[in-house]
Amino acid sequence: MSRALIGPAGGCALHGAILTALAIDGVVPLVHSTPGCALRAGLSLRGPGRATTAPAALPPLPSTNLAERHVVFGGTSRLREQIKNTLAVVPGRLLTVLTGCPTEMIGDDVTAMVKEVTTQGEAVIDIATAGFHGTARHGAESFMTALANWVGKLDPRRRGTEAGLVNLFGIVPRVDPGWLGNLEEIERLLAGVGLKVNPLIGPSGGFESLQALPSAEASLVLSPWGLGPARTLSERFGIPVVQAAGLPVGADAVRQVLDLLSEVLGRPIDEAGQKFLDVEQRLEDFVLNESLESLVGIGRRRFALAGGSLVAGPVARFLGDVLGWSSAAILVTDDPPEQSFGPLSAGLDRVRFLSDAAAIAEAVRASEADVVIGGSAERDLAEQLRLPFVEVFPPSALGTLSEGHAGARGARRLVAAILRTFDPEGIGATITTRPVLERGNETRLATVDGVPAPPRRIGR
Amino acid sequence: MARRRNRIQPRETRLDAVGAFIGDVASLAAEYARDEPPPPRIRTFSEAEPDDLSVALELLGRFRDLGLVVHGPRGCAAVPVHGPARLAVTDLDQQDTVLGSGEALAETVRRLDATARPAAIAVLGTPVVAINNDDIQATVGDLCEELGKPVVWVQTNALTSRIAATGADAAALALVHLANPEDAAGDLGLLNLLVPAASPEVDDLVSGIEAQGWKVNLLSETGTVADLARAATAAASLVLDPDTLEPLAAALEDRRGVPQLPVALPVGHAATAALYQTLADIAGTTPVIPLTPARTGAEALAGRRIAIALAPGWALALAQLVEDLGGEVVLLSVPHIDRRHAGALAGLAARRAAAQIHVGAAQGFEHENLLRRLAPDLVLGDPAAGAHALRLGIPAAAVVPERLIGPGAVERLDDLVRDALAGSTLALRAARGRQSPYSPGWLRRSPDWHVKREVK
Ligand code: SF4
Repeated sequence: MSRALIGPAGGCALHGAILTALAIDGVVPLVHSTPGCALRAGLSLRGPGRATTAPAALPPLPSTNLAERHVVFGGTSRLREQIKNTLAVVPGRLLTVLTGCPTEMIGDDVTAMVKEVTTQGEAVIDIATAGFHGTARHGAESFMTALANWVGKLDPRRRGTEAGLVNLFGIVPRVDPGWLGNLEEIERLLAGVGLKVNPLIGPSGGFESLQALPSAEASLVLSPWGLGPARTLSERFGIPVVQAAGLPVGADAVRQVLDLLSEVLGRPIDEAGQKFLDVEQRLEDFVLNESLESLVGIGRRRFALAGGSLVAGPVARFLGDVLGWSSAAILVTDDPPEQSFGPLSAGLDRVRFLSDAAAIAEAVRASEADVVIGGSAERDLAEQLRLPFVEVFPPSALGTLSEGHAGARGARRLVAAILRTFDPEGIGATITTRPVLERGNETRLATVDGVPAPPRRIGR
Repeated sequence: MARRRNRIQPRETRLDAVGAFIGDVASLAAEYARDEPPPPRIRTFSEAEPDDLSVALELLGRFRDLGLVVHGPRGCAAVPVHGPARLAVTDLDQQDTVLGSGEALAETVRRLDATARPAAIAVLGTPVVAINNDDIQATVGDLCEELGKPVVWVQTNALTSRIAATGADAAALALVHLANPEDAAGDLGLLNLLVPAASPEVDDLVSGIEAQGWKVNLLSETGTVADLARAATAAASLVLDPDTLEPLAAALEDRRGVPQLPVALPVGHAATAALYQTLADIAGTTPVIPLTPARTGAEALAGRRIAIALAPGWALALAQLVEDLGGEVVLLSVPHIDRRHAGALAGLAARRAAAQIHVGAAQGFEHENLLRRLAPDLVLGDPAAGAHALRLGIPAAAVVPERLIGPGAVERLDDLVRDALAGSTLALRAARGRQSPYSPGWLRRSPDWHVKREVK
């Protein structure tokens, strides 16, 4: 059933499928829908005011752009024409026909159109990705699941495994903040213990990575949005699924995930791997040591945090388990399936699953938090509530360029973000208690001894 | 308040708009010179196009205290606006597309009203509710009375028009209902200034207009519903965003009797001085004309072959400026063209008949093909077009209309061109080792290969 959703973020299932397809080199999406549906997938990559041009960051995005008469009389002939011409204009190794709401509503027989070309030897699949099926992350999962199924059908007999190869699922490209930075860091961390990530998306992924899915020894799933493809591969090829409690933020979380992986693979982490993990641990220790004076000054905070299921829990765990902070509200905002509520909230207090901006605002307001942690939407909220704000999730527009929070390096960025908010001068002793908003977005910070600090800008 | 109103006519019908054409400027100008409209054309291959819904949402989003409700599944609302807390969506699921969703709309409007407290609310249609035939108008009418504030229907549906700018028409029709002066008297000294966005040049222009004895009601991306109401009391409107805001000015003229000033865009010293003269004449004051800038030439453009990619009104204005300054326009890339552009198009055809015109919104495959063939020295236009040019090794400069306004436009353009040419290392770097995302077969084909006359 529909619901009133305030401040909708992140697009629809079609958008998640498009953004995932565009992040896999060699995979070409073809959207079968009315104009606007496909282009809107890219609009969140930039700010307001540029709704009519395709973001140059994205590869070509073929679309049937159906007219009214196609909706009335059916759009299959237009689709047939577009498939044929897409194969000629946009080179690729797999064409994925993605349906939007209008074409699923009018019941176009997309599968029949696709069959026409597959019988001629073309690699084409169709995936039902209408926006009304769910969120962008849901669409990304459906898309990945369809790819896993396709590889499975293509190569039903598993031709052996590649030692140490691990499929990685659950990071949604251009939707999860810092997706590329997180992906690269996970690759680096697994390489540190002798494993190799098969990432599918991003510069090190691509069609070969897709073909290699059945050869992996395990699938590592970092969010509920990666379970679909991992389970498909498990059912088809018996590839074990290792489900992490989200992105590993901090050295301890990394060690937990890698221990779990090594247990499933039946191969203990060797001496070189242990050494690597020790260095990661020392990096985090070093960072904490450097920041202790500031952290003592900042004191134990009661935080309200909002973010997607990949990062919200893990960041909250780091804040609680490492910094000793307490959670006033942990808001998971990406509408994960109900079955995942338990694992996502494991070991955490005051977790709620809300995607509506007004409900999130109300939950933060009621939480009595003394610091707000999140992305740009929460920054505005923190300003309204006159609370300090720590930006840890960059806007989608910068999501590809920012570093993410995986591993000890991610923890370092998290601590740095906290210090930038509370102790920008790095002077420790004059840490603020509570900023008081005076006018506009300028704050005057009251210090512990009551001597006002000079005004500074908060937010953008 | 919501009341029965005319259905939006697509731009194709209302203004003979064309959304697909590749050829020389003279040929397209000749099509508009005939009695019958240009023949409808379609594409047999296309990339993702914008729709009326995105354009309307973006335009309405410029009014900061206007609540926005998109009636459809969640992805239809995926258009960034300033202040997302005033944007809501009915978030229809598959079941709603079968059973209908009138109550969901009412609930969403009520909830947005309660949480964001907007001055008025605009409800935008989507293809999903258009296919379902949901009666938005009736729901909106009831909500007006219930909430005691204007709730207006924006007739978008992504279906009836292939020209996304039709969304500006739909938004204008909704906005003019909010431009309700109630009992306020007309203000003979007030000028509505409709601009694409704020800029230092717009600020200077406002000061210049005020110096001629006018007050200015600025309708930009920081407008409010109160500004709209005030707009209905103005003596005249001046449109500096012809591609998006002209329909609003036209609606203010038709429905509220506020005439549009028929003046050229104030781009450069002469055009700005002419505007000030006109305004002073109307106000009965002595014109205050800005001093001629110290630098009046733009040598950087002389002899350069230029491609322009912008919305049509500004693209044609920029083309004229480039030609005036000794440049050669080799390509004009615009999302659509309609009858209002016919005069400027004919003017360009008279000067540069063989210049190519590419009509198509976001059709990168055609754009790349054309750029490769024409190999201009420089691309001027929106940043996305600029990025595509850089990947082909062609220097590019982003031209933002609001920064070209006013007496210093020539100098600013000259600076932009100089900077872009001086910084061409970025183009070399972006093009290094790049493989086109399009097949060699396509790039060898004629760029208009996939544009065909529509057979009814
Ligand atoms: S929700 Fe449906 S109709 Fe709206 S953009 Fe997504 S696919 Fe298109």
